[in-house]
Amino acid sequence: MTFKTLPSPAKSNKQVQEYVNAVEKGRNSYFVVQNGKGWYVRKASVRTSPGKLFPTKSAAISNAQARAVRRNSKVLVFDRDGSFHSSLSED
Amino acid sequence: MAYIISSDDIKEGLPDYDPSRAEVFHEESTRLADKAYEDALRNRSEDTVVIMSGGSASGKSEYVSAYLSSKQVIVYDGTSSKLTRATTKIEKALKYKKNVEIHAVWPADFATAFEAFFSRDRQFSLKHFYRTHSDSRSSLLRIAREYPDIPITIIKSSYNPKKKGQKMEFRILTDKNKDDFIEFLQKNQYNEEQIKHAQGLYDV
Repeated sequence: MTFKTLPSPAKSNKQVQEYVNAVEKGRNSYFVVQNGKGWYVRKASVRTSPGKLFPTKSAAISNAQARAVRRNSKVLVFDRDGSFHSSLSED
Repeated sequence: MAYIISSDDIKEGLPDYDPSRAEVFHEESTRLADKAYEDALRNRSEDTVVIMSGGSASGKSEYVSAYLSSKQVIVYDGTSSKLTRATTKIEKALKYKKNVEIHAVWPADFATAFEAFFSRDRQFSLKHFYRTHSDSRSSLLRIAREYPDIPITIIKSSYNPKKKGQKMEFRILTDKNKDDFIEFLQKNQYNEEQIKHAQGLYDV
């Protein structure tokens, strides 16, 4: 099964541009993720590394928030079972 | 120009609509969209109905805007994640002697769709993201089996940060051989847990 590439949407397409803007904003956000060792903080767009490890949830959130403020982005906190815990907007 | 029915667009016209609580308004906007769809089938002259399929933030509305909006068709822009609602739309369109097409938009990777999902103004629960991506694919498979004469197009949406110009891309697959196509759909089913792990969030 082969896919055929469609012509690029026009750069002026507002709907497409809003989606691109949302993706780019999302990629600048920070995830706080729990595992057995502690809490990891990683930038959303960095998918090959678990990120920086912190012993406590509050330390991880503080670190993520400080980094998110610089990028005007969000922090998303996930619980150990993968459920979404909270979104801390820095907008 | 296409006649586009979108529950997300309808939400924006609802009294007291707040995009940060979009899920609260979803049932009402879907009900109104279904009514608009029935009215369009009854009253509009377009011969073809395109029913969209695909999880939340997969790029459906962007695909409609870029490739369908100039066509003479009726478009129902929804996730088609609830099988009975999707088949009801198909049956109604057939009753009004319309040609029906299904266009399913799949993100090239769930992580990118997730980034768009949580960053845009319109906010839904994470459960909504997992459910719509999983259920829209299982519904599509059932539709492909139960309605072999209805053409299905799969569109993969992707975001390419290195590309100059428009960074969003679409690739298209049409169902030339139904058996191969159904096999392809079977191989691309994901349950909610698999989608969670495909994001790479929980395996650190």
